[in-house]
Amino acid sequence: MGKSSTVTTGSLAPDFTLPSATGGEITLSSYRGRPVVLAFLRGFA
Amino acid sequence: MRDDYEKFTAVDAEVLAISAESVPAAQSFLKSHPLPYPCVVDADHTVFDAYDVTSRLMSLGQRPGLFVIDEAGTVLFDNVGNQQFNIPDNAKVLEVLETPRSA
Repeated sequence: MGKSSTVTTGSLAPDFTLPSATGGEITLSSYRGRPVVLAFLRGFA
Repeated sequence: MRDDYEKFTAVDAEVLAISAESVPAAQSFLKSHPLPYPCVVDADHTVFDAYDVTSRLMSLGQRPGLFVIDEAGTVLFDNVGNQQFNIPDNAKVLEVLETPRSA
C-alpha cells in the first residue's frame, strides 16, 4: 500500500474550496455528477 | 489543454485549473491570457500538498499534475510527472473520460 496521503486511481479525490482567479469560490464537490479534469498548473511563466 | 477544451466539454467533463500563484498574480495573468475554464488559486499550497503535487520550490521543483475525477468524486486517472514534458497526452485523458463507467 502506498502512503495514505497520495491520491491515486480509485481513491476519493480530496475536496477543497478555493478562491477563483476570476472571483468567488469554487468547491470541487460542487462538480459531483460530472467528471472533472483537474489540472495543476506549474505557475504562469 | 486550452486547445482541447471543447473536446472535454463534448464528453460532458468540466476542466478546472489550479494554480499556486497568489490571487493577484493569477488575475493579472488571466487578464492577458484568458482561459476557457475556471482557475482556482491555492496560494498556501494546501491542495497541492493534499494531491502530492508539491509546488513549494521554484519552477524546477514543480511537478505537473493532472487528475481525472468521476461523477462520484473518485479518481479515475492520475498523472504526476517529474518533468514538464511528462504531461499526459490529452488523447489519453479523453480515452479515460470516454471509457464507460458503472455509475
